[in-house]
Amino acid sequence: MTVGEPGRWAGDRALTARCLAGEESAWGELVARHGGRIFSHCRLAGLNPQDAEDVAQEVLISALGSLASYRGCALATWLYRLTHRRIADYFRSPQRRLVSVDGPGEPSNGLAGRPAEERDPESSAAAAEEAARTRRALAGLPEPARSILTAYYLYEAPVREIAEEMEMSVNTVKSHLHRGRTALRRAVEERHDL
Amino acid sequence: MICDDLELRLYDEDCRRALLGTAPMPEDVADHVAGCSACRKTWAEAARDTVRLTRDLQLAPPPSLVRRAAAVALQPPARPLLGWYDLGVAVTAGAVLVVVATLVPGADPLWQSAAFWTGAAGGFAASVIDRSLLLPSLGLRS
Repeated sequence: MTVGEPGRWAGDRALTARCLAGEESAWGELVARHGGRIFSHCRLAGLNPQDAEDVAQEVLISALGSLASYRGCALATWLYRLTHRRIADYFRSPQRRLVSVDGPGEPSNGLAGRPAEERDPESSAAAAEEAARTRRALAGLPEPARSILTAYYLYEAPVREIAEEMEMSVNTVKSHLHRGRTALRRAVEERHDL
Repeated sequence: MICDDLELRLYDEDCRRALLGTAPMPEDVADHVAGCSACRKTWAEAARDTVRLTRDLQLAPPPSLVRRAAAVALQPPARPLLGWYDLGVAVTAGAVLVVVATLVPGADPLWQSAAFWTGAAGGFAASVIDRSLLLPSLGLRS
């Protein structure tokens, strides 16, 4: 699913309008559609699974409270912005506890969204390992590349919206994406070569 | 389009959709790629990466997150500390007691005034108690 084109926002606006009207199923739909992104964003930023869940929960509560102010971009981009700021607050707090994105609490579900039975156990394990390696490589990228790649690939935010959020030119964002993608591919391929 | 342009063009939304296989390759890109083997390779590589990264960066949310988030939506909205609702309840309760007081034989204005303030105070207290969730089951919450 790619979000971010103006035509796509109509669906986002309809969903938020239903949430604001108090429709419980709409809120459930929003959580189902974006909860994984928000949680993954927290984990990729280095939060341990419990803190990632707590922060994701706070982001969702905050989103519900300020949904009326959502406009002008894809809902995913708006949620990315909320999550990014909440993670920054988390890192300023003294109670933070960091673990690797492949820490003990991580569910081994690099194939999120695909039932495990779609693949045989061996290829499923290999794919999960490759996915974990990709996430590890992303977590190791310097800023702003890590945030840009997270917004583009995880939230599927359009380059123009990322550029506005990061206060950069569109071409600068594209250059970061290009270098970052190349670095991630090399990180995965190096492992294959071992 | 020249080869250098493709490197940045890959990140536009129409190209992303094509790389993910949900839309055809944009015409300008298709025209160029058709006659350039290096860019064909670049495109194929970008397609593999885009599919992989879009899929692999996302973890499934823990079920408890979904449950907790759903519970948030079920909570009633908080009312302000002192609002028109409380004032309305207080005045209504005071007025009811004034009416009752006028029915008492020999009631004077002082008696009616005392009845009003007693009713208003009682109504206000009831409203505050209502806020503390003692009365929602009676349907008295706004």
